[in-house]
Amino acid sequence: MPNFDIEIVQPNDGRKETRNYLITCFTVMAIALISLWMTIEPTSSARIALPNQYSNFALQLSNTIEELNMLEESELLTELYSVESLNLPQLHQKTFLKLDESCFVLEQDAYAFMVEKHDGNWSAAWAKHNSINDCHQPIEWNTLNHQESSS
Amino acid sequence: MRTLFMALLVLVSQSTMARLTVGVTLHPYYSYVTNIVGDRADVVPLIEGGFNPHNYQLNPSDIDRLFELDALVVNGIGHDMFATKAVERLSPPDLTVIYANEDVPLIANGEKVNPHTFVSIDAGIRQVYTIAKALGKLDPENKGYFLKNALLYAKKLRALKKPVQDLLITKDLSHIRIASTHGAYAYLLQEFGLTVSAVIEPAHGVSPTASQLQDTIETIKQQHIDVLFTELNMENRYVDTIERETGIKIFYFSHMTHGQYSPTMVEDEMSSNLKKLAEALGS
Repeated sequence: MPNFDIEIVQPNDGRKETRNYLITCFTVMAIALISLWMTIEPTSSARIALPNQYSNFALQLSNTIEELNMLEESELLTELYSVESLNLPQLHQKTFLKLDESCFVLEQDAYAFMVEKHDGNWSAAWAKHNSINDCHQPIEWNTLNHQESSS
Repeated sequence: MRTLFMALLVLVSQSTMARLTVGVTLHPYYSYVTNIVGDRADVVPLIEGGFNPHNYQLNPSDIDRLFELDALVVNGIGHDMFATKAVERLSPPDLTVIYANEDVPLIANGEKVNPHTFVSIDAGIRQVYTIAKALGKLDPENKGYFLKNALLYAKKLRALKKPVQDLLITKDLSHIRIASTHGAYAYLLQEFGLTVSAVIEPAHGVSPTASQLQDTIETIKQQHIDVLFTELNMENRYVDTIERETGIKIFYFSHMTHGQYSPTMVEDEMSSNLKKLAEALGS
């Protein structure tokens, strides 16, 4: 006798294929996002920048420092340093104050600029700070050409 | 006799070999470097004059030239990407790239920086010192000579400012409002305590659209802008429209990246720019 048992085959509703397709899509997107994230340079933690209004003063100061180092190297600077002998620039008619033999500071509004000779080299820096008593005050000093982001 | 001749030949060839070949990407750097090195190095423009550096692409002869250089002085902050990208891509061996703006306090422009440091006296001087020091490292025998020339050149450039400074001592500039067609003059203007209230072109050499022009005219009227600085070597027909609609005074500055390369170009064109500035501020 023939077997009349009928195997009932459930219609393929495509759920398994759909699930596999979605898993594949999400996997590809996740890999793409991770790859993109890895190529993006980490942004540095929030850094302050010198406002543009001080940009030219920073430039003049930078030039002066370079000239001082050249003069020192040529032994053309005497050791009795003063604001006048170092030809330090003024900012809105304000001059640098001499804090010690080789440390000079100028404060304007919320910003301070410092010039010092250390280990035979002249350097300058700025900080968002008032009441500077010392060129080595433990605050965040920034170089004159400090920038937040590159072009 | 032959020994003496051979010794002389060796000496001459050695001194020739030691002589630097320094490339430059923009006209002002040709002036800076020639004034620094005098007759003790060769200065070679990477590209011929007469091209817009903003959209130039190196051709095969430029690339050949690049590979012959010992050093290349670049702006490096957006004005000579035709060169910096090529150097990155091709990595010529034995080439020292000198980033002229390495030590310059830059003016922020949104998330970027204003690259026009060469249209300036103070920023120009800063670059001269950076370049001279870098060349001195490459050619230690001539380091003292390069630095001395750099100091002398800086003195010459500073002297150009004097006529304008003398004029400004007696003037109150607090009320003067300035616009420019291109953002090239910020470094120069800040040296005299001036800032630009409006920049018109969306990009160098790109004229504004009709609606952008209309917005600019409105801005000029609302902000009571007195003076418009525009570029000497660029055709700016819309400038006539602005003049007609606003009555603003227009003065022409050189962008300093056109024409033939010349050791005196910076002095000549900056001198002319400063005269225009004095005229604009005195009017």
